[in-house]
Amino acid sequence: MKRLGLPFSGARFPAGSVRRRLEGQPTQVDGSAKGGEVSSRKAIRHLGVALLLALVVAASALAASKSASTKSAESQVLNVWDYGANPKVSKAFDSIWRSFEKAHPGVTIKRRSFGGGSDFDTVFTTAMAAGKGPDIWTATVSSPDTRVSIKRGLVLDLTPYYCKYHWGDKLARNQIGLSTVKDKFYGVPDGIESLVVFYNKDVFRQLGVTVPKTWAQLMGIVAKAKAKGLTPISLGNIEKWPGTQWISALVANGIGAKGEESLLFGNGHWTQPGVVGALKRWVELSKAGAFPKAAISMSFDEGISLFARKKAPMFFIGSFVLAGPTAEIFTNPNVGVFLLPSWNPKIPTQATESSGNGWIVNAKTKNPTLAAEALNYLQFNPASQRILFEQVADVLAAKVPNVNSFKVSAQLKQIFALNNSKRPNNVALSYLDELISVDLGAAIQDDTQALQLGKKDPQQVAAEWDKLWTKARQEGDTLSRTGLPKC
Amino acid sequence: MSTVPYVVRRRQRAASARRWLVALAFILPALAFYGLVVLRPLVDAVRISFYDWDGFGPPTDYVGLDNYRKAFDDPLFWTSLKHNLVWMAISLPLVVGLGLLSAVLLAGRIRGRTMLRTLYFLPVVQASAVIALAWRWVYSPIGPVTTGLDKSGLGFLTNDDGWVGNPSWALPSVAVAAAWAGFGFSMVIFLAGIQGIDPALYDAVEVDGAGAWQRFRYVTMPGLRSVTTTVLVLGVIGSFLVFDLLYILTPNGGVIQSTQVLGTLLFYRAFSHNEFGYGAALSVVLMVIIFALSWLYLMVRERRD
Repeated sequence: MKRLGLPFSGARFPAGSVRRRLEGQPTQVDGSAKGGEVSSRKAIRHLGVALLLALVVAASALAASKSASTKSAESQVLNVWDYGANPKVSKAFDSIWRSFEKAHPGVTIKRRSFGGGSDFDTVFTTAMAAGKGPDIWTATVSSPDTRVSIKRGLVLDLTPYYCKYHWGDKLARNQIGLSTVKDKFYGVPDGIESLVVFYNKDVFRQLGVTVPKTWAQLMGIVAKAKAKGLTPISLGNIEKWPGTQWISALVANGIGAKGEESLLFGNGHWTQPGVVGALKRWVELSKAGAFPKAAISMSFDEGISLFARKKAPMFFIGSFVLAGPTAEIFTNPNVGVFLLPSWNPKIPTQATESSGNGWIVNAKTKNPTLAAEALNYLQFNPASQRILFEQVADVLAAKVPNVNSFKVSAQLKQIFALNNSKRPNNVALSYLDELISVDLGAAIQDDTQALQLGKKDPQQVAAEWDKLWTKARQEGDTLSRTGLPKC
Repeated sequence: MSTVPYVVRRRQRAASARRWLVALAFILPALAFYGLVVLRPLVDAVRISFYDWDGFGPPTDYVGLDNYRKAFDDPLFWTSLKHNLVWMAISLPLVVGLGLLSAVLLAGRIRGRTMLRTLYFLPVVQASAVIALAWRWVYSPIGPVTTGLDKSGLGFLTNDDGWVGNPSWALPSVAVAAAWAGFGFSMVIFLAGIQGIDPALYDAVEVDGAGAWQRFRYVTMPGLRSVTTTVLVLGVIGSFLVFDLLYILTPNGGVIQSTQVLGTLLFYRAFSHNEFGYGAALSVVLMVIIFALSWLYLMVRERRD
């Protein structure tokens, strides 16, 4: 028999049985040594089963106790998801919620914050699908995602609270309609944003130009800035949405507030001259070199960088830049504001206002009354309103009587004044992509780039958009003005 | 009829069963984990692909094969598939070629070999977001690289629309970035393969007067056959799984959808359009394509061998 030279031979096991096992021979069952082997294996097996059982029992006990404590705590906790990742904005929200908690002992507000441009939608959709969505989240009722949530019965009908707290008297009328679906109120609008042109006063002085009142004057500034080696209007359009904001304002100036009303809520068409003309102006700006050479490759942040470094005297964007990380750049005393002049001689320059976001309550929240009360506190309590205006630069959809006493930036005050000067007939909606179907929104994003590159022409684009909008209408995927909620 | 007594055969079977149980006990945790994070989502994805589901609440609207029909009728699906093939055609030769070249060089006795291996492998262990941000900086039309090239008279190396803003160059640009990030991995695999080749073979051909190229062609390449298969199959799979760099460097499918690939398309349709059923169908199609291509390559390879 070949010696195997095994290191343990004879130490723990009877050498004979090891040898026989290795040679493939059956081992004997009888014999005390073999009996000892069997019983030790049995013991290990029993120990293993016992350990496994113990683990299962412990895990169940833990889960049960967690569930019990969670259950008792659930009635006291409101989970709120917001776009408040910026430290200043976060601090503002925290101070509002801490004072709400003080006024409501036993209540805890737990915030989860997202930054602008983050994957809020992805996280939110996944959480809602898993039944783990927040009690309150920030979104616009008119956005395609929220409309899907409403259709699915996932959004709480806030009409009873709208009536209870008299929100109809406290909110700007034009914003109530956008939060209403089939006579029911689904979200408290917040954060009114306007599309404006920010300009650098120093550079304007150097160019010897003043704020343009007409399209021709604007194009004159573009030419002068180009001649001086500057980029006239900064733009970073790789993310595509900055281009849609341009289209929103150009279309508003092309068809006016009433025309927009007809287009979005009535039977208007995208092929009308005002819209085609808007697209032609977009192409004109691109061909005239108004934008950076490779605007399509630049990010939104790079666009801001050009403006901040005075390489571009103008930057067209929503007023949300007055808050958050870009606040310092745009609230600089050297920065002024003007409305994009109308290119259509038949339509006066339009101001634009849209709810940048709002607050929605989960239909499955265990605390609907508390959630509505929290929103009422957030949006309509005077102390909260002051904090939101001053620290978040949040232009509330709520009517705020003493807003002039608030410490807000000069630029925000200027925007108020400009918008007020355009009421009541020349205030259009800001963000078209929040008010249309997902497919049309995606097409607008791609086509603004295609137009910049000269790959498509305005007539062709308008026809394609109209086709998509007609399809959305047929599928019921459009907003409708159904009037105010009924109390 | 067996000569082994029945009792003994029963004991043998019992012993064998015990061994199986012990083996199972060891692999069960890993198998459970695999089942939970791989198999279960796979089965779920296939199931969801038969529903028209917007992602909210449970899927209830059964539509059969409609999502698959929709994919084959969708022009963007075919464009995305084409982009994946273009990606493969660009990145695969770069990854394999650079990996092989660097492995051959680093297999020899050169100074700083260890440091170079580490440097080449470093991008592999970086997070994709970091790689994407670094290349965004490289490709930025107002960044230091482009500005520097313009100022030093090498402006012809830049692109008027920016590399990622030009519909014809966006996809190749990101593919180059991905190849830079990934060739270190193939280098390591090739290096391991080269080190597995018997040095005596090199001695033998050297005695016959073979030069460096002949040694590479007649010894190294044949010796790396199975390793090359592995690298190529992984590269093909990677070409169809590409997502992160494109998502960050060219958001929303890139300029006029010039960088939309199947991976980004299914994400886009699911999370931006609330078409989870359709997104799931696209993911199943993607899985089938990857499986088919890998199998095809392995079959061709086996026949050749």
